[in-house]
Amino acid sequence: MVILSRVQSGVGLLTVEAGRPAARLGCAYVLAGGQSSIVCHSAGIVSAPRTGRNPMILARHHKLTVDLGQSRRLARLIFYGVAGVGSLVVTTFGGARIEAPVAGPNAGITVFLSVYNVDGELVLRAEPPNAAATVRNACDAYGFDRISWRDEDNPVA
Amino acid sequence: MIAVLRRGSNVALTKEIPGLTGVVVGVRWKTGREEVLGENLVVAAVLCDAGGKALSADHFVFFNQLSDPATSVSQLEQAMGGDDEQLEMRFDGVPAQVSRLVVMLYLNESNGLRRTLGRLREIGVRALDLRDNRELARSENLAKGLDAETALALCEVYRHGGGWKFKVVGEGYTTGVRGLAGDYGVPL
Repeated sequence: MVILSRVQSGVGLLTVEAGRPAARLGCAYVLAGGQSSIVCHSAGIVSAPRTGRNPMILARHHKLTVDLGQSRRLARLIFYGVAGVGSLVVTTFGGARIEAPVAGPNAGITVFLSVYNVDGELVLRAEPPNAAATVRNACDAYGFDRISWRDEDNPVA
Repeated sequence: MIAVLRRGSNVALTKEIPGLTGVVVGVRWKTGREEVLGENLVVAAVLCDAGGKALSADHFVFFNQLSDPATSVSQLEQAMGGDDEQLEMRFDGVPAQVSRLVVMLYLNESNGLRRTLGRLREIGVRALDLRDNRELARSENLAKGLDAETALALCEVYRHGGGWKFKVVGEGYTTGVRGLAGDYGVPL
């Protein structure tokens, strides 16, 4: 577990990148206002919010970036994907680098990392390697129960 | 006493007003149609020692850290009087090892299109009497001359001869908050 300082939690971008191109790397989020969904490049959902010129979370292939200038609107996140990608590398704006192990079965969706906003400080925790059958199952297991799902892997647009 | 100060000019606050207990520093800007630019502007203050360096990361006051440990400098969650952001500074609470309070503005690096401060139409800073919000001094429009800058040291409130002075800085950085943090020793 790593706790970022308030400065690290509020300046620039937080980058989360798979060590190798990862299958279905994505994240689920809950905003302070209660809105919740996922961002996943391979699912075609590349930003949160989905519209607007100033997205909080942006997905590009095997990399996700979180705009910490909007961190007061962020409640919590999980980063997931298909295991076997090696490691998940988290980089702060100041260059601090945190590697989270990516373990678990090569099938199914594994949650690798959770991020909680605790009174302005982001708490990063590597999660145990338990695979779920679908993205929806993985999100449900971490209490992301406000997402409306179109199917087992994709939320309602 | 209302003085319009140019870059580099200063005014003696407590010498002119002996009962002054502190100031509110207000920052206001006009972005024109550049709404995204305004959404990504961040105002911060750094409590610096005699060497011009931050005492610690806890002495960087901004939206995600609303006060220093001594609560001598606080960012107000709601600015008033036409300012976009305001910082409250209580002179008697400022730690003895702090020599100057530097107020800065930077563009947070975001997921959106990159902007620069050169797109600002106006940016100004002013000092108000903490007791009654009476305006004491204000800067000229510091947007003039900005181009590729992404951060700006706006002003300093600093100790001088047993009192406090207010100085307009207006120094831009093309290296953004990294450049400012490097100059003032703020660990990112």
